[in-house]
Amino acid sequence: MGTADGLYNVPVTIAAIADATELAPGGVEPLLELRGWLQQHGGADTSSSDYQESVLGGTVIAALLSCRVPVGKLRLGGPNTSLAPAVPRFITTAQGVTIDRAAISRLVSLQKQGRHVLSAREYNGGSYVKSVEDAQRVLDDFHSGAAQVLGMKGNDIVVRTPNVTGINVNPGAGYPRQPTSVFFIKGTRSPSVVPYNPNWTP
Amino acid sequence: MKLPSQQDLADAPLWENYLVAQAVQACLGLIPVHVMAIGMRASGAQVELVFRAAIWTAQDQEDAEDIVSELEALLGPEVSVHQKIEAPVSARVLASPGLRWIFAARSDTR
Repeated sequence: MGTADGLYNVPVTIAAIADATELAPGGVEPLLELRGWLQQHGGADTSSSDYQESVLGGTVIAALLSCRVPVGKLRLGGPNTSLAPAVPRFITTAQGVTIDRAAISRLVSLQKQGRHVLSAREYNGGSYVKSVEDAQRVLDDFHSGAAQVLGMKGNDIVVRTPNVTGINVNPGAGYPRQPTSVFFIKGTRSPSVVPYNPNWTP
Repeated sequence: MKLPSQQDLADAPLWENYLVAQAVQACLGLIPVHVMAIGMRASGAQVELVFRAAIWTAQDQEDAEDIVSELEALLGPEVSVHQKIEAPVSARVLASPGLRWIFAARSDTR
């Protein structure tokens, strides 16, 4: 799920905190304190009970409990906070297609990703990344805003990230092994990441 | 009739053959388990993949969509790829104008 620095920037909802209290092994007092802090600082959206954000909230809480970070010193981002810039949930492409970042799972599907990981048993000769971790990094960059959303290819989201290099395999077009920083994200609930034409334009 | 050679491609339908080659590449490792045959129909930049199956499951649909996605990636944004599902059917392939079959399962395997 990333580093503590990454966790600081995820939006946390009141609903997420409420859900996390049922899961937290360390008791609810720190959670209630955190909830109060969020309410005071306007970093919470009380209307949302989105499941993925709940999971994220649980992750944040788990991190808090295990690290014993003083709540008052946290720099949690949120929809209304000025402490950290929030990544916009919705992106509208130049073609007028609106992408909901929250609709895309934050974890790549290991089974589906195997088709595009060179060393995986499921690899079948197409475009590939070096490891599942590289694929996950692309997805992380999509969610964190580090990746640039270029547009849509059918139902797939095309992104460019400076942090991962994959190999685009298209021997029929004369590119048997082309390094690329452009990828498409396939699927929503069980996404996988596929290297794509580095010169792709929508 | 003069057949194409490495030095002279003669009258080989290059575009259609290119599409077939890319469709085969796109199918690698992804052919849905219940599919009996896959065909391709091309009209300019419009490509249709035809899947014929005895039964059609959600997993088959997902695999077919993956093939379409792979083919879109290989062909680029100038070419439009669609899918057509023919299921349930009993015959593997049927002669159809403009349709090129690129995969047919053995008749004794299904």
